[in-house]
Amino acid sequence: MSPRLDPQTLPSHVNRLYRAAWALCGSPHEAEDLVQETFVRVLARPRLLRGDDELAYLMRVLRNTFLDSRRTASRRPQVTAQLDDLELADERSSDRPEQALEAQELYEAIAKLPEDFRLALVAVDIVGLSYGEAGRALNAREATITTRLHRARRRVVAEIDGEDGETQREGSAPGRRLD
Amino acid sequence: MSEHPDPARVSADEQRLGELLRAVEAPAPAPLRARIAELNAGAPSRRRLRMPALAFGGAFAAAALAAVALALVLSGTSAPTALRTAELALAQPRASAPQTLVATGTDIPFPDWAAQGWPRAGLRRDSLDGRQVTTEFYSSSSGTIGYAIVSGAPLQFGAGGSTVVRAAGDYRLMRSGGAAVVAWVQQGHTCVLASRTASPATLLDLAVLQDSASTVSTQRGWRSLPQATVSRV
Repeated sequence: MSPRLDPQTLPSHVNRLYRAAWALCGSPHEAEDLVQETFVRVLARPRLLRGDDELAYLMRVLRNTFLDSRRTASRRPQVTAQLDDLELADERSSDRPEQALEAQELYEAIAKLPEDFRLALVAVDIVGLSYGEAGRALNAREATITTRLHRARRRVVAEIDGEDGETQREGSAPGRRLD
Repeated sequence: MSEHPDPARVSADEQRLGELLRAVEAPAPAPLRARIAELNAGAPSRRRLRMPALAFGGAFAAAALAAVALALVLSGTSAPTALRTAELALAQPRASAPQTLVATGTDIPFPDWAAQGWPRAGLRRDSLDGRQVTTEFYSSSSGTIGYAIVSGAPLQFGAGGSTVVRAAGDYRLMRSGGAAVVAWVQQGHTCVLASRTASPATLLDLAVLQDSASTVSTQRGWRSLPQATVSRV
């Protein structure tokens, strides 16, 4: 019988899931909401892990919650943003503003990746899954995860370090430096 | 990209991305950890905590408005709620702010948050279904916070939002039309902080500061926020 997810261990994964969510959606505020919604889903009823470990399971739920949110958003009527809404800034980490800025740039760069690349990078490099676990969580072959991951890393590094090359050829914006 | 990427390039990219990710610490904000801990604490509060995701901001705002509208229809009255009070806290000031100000119909003084980066910026007084609402505004270089205090008995917080428990009391975190709202009861009156630019964490820090300072000691003046928890926009 598959083991049950132990709710008592879940809070230990909040930091990692928050970073994953930030990289998925590009906004620390949306990331908070995405993580909370993910936990609401997970805790709604007892869960069986069915071969996943906890992190892989949470990654799967996070991915599904993220994709659901994007589908919901795409169906919603568009509203005109007010000036106040456009001026939203990241207000956290005021004790280390430079690092907060760097984090925002890095996670924005990841969030700009095509969805498949982004999910692969988040699953492996941020959540810490193996290629095989990531493949199962994302319903993709391990070889596919490997390819997506290489390309995703190349694009992010090029974006952050301002390199020419594949990033430019594949249509991304010019690179920027964090420092 | 070629079918067979340069192994050295692949390895270098993996190493570089690892460096970048390790260089930026991004721990989950304290309010989020608190909400998760509360969600995890058990079923009794789970329904209450089930806040529609803010990532779907427009949907949440619409849902919140719909919930308010539904509550009004069902009640048959336009009973004031924390979210209706938040509308006043998000409105424009009508007068300049005095040096000291006590909310009408209460004994609650408005705090001086200049040391926290939010000096007084204005004042308005409104009547909300027979309640007196006094709102003081605080501004920084990039935004405004409204702090409304409602006379009379505590208001309904309304549907939606999540409750964060601190030593000084419970605080309801909500969203309204893209704005962050924190509501709590202080000295028997509803207090509401709202802002379109400040984060929920900032509002929560200020609310806890105000609540703690008024309940623990009115003699020692306002404490400074710990630097690590001060968020400025």
